[in-house]
Amino acid sequence: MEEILTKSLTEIVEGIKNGTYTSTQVTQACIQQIEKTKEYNTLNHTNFEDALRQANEIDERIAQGNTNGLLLGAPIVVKDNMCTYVLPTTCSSKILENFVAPYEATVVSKLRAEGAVILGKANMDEFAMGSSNETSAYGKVLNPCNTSRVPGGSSGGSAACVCAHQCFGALGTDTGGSIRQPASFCGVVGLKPTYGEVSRRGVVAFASSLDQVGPMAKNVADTALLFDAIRGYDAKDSTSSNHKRTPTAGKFLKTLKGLRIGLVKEIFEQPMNDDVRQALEKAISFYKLSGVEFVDVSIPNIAQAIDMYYILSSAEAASNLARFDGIKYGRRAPEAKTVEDIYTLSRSQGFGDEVKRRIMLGNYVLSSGYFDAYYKKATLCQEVLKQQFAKAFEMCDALITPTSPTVAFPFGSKATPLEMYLSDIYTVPVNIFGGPAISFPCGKGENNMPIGLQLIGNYFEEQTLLQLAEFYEREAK
Amino acid sequence: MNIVSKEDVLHIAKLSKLQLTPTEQEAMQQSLNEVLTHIQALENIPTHNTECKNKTFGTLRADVVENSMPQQSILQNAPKQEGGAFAVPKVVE
Amino acid sequence: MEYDIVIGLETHVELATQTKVFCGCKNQFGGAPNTHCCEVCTGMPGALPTINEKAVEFTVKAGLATHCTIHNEFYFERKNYFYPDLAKAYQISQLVVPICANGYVEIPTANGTKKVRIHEIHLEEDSGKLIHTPMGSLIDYNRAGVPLVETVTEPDMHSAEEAISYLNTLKSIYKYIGISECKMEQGALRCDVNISLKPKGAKQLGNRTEMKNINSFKAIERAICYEIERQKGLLEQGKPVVQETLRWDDALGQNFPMRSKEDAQDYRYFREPDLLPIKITNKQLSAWKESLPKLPAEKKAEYMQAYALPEYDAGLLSQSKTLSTFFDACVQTYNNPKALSNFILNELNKKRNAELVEDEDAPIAITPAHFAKLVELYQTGEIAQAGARQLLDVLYETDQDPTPLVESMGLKQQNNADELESIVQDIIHQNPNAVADYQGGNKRALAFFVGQVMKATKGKANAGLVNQIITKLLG
Repeated sequence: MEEILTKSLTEIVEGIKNGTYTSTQVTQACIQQIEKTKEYNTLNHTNFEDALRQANEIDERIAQGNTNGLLLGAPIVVKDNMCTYVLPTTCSSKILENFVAPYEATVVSKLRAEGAVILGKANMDEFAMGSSNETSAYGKVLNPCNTSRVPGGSSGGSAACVCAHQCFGALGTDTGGSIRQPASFCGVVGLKPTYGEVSRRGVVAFASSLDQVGPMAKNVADTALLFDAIRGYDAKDSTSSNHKRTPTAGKFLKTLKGLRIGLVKEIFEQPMNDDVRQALEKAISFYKLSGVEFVDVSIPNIAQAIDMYYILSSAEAASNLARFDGIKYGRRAPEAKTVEDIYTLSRSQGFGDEVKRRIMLGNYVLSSGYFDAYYKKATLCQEVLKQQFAKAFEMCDALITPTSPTVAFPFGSKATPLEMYLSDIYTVPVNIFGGPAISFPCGKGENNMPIGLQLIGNYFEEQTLLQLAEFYEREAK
Repeated sequence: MNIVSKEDVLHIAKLSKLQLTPTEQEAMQQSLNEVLTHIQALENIPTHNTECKNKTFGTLRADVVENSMPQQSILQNAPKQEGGAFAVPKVVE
Repeated sequence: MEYDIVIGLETHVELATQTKVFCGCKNQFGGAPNTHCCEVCTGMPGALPTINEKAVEFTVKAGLATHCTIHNEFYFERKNYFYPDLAKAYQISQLVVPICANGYVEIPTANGTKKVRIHEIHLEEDSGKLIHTPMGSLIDYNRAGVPLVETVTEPDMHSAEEAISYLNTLKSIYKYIGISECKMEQGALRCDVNISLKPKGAKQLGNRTEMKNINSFKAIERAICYEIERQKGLLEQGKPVVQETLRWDDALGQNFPMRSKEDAQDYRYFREPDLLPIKITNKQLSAWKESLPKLPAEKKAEYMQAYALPEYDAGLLSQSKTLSTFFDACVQTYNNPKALSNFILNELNKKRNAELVEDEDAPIAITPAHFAKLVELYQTGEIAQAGARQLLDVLYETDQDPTPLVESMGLKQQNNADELESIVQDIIHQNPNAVADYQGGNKRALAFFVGQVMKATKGKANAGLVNQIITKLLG
């Protein structure tokens, strides 16, 4: 593989700034890699001409002496649920085929402001609903570590892209684990920021109160850099948080002494494959030896987070996806003769099975007569869980869990939707509670597949998580 | 145990503007029942004394006009348009 | 069988803010379709709402002006349903915690003042517009997202007259506090009418119907009368009144069940997750309260008490904000409210007739100080009525200080008794028959003499003086 592709994001930006590489060179290398490894099916849309045009513009800028930008000249991929000019935004759904957004997501504008080259739109589970990237209308994504296995989801394309060295970083979204789980399945780093840390404007909503955009990259330092580039208050996103942010890149620790990690007793009570359990225990030993204090904490209802999640996320999704009605954009069933037909036929033809399931579940739990028992109950349970997390964080700086109970599973191996949902058991509680979490590689498991370790932090404590992860990455053998 | 009946499936499909084949209806009923059965676990969490304490309030936007999107952009993905408007079959009020 | 009529009204009023309620697009009536739009108000994927501060302020003011309790912590909810003019397939509205609740307005009726209770006032967004053509329907989202204040009354009205009186009162209040122009012709004020009948004196309310699509106050009157008769007819035949939504067709003078509302809608309300709840501080609330002008009812009372104006006049002056502001300013310059009131209501408003039809609050193009001066000149006898009218015409065209015009237009009233007497003497000598007529008992002949004197003086004689002189000379 070309030498350029083995570099990290941090190294490539450094290299472009000091003239070792040009953005055009780097972008060209990525393009070639994408063509070479197109079987992974990581990208829904590309426009290489436009990518090279962007790279050229940056090279010209550099020639004038302007080397500003955290991501100067680096090709980055964004998930196909983030609005971009030029490239379509389809959320891997037939209902949005050919949709070209007339505006750009805030995070995409930020990437470009930092000098990134937007390389392509990553494949994903349809409307971000899924944990295996098997529900995409553009076909499944293959895990570059082992092509008979899933890359994870819903940001499967983003994770696989990074893993296959097709780009130097990617943006994903995480509603129930959709950044962290594919990161762990593909052996890359993925960070879900605190809810409100990064703007959601221009990101097609799945569950508005749970969705967050986050970085995925080859290592922790890269992840921090990409995180710094996209985070910030956005006045056009009323849920984004307006507080002082200090950059996280490069702020790494010499020692972990003084930090405390919590072991959630209820997590260890969950079924976990042996290879995953071993990797977790090894990681815990490493941190102990590095001076981290471990405390036992209890989050009694952490295992019910998944039930809260399916009620809340489906309800919001059912409402958010109602706008896909064949009237203003997207697919309109050609045979529709009445408005009613336009709605029903376009949506029935345009949505895949998993999306229909979630919409039905969502409308059920919101419907008259069921609202109190399901939706209202779920919001109250969410409050209970938040209080339990708050109590746990009084005693520690981070919680440690595996990202997933298994390594990447083979295609088609989940028998029922529920079985698929239950594989999110460690990631979902984080979205319900709203805090940040990172997944990073911590060894190999069954079939030599990567295992991901998850660290969960208190609100806006991404810095701590990045530091703990980076230390492990640097020092653990 | 069937939490969701066949009629429920039809009613919710109508609310969702989805048309399901009989096979799809059956599969939907099955998966909904499976998930809703699992969700019953929430009944065991006591919440009668729980109040959603609100700690964060939002901010308001100043009433100052911002540039609108050009009509062309608004319509650029329209399946059918006419005279600057989105066109649909006759709507009966 | 006698029936009690029970009416409740839901009005939607478009707020006169610069921008829409959840995005920064212009809030303006008309314009080429889809030219005041963005990703937010057209429901594009990824779009997010932001709350217009002025819309909140205006909603709070609506509540303050109608004696409501203001919920200073509130949030928005999604009302989910499919319709082509609803871009997101949900409307951002309020349900559980409306901004205002439990208020009232006092309305004038034939039997005196009556209280109509207001259940709640909340803020929500308007939908786009459907334009129907023979070929199909067209959708324009310019109106989508315009802020609406929905005011819901308790079922406290019992006749079409009371309903119209309520609507006029509400309209006048909302215009007064400047939150809306309330132009019904532009769809800025819409009203849905809920009517039910019950046997006279019965406790249990009957089934109510909801009527929509009524586009003027006159049509509302017609619609209410029709529906009362229709329900009476059914009840008299022992048939039930179906609880349904009806569409009023003013051209045909009847209503029809609305097709789109046939199946009971399940709106699946839940908290809007894209918007955080809002808190209005006490400081902010006080500031908004302070900035409210006195309301029409207060103004009317003030004019009756402080200026001893008759109720009718006080009512007319206070109903329009433009007029009451103008009147107040005039009184500041020339402290003769009675004279000012008369001249405004009798002369000025006649001139404004054409504009008033278009807009009850049409601006007055004359500076209050100038107008007040005019009235003063007339009141003190400097100019006669004809002169005053002439001056008004001029000022209406071109606003200016009327004082120099008295001289330049030669309008100075003839007040010199001796000169006038000599003119009267002349006329008496020239008209012996009229004198005989007058002295013979026809007192109306006086008008003839006055007329002649006016003619001779080109309208500048002081009418009062002339009267006195003639009566003195002729008896």
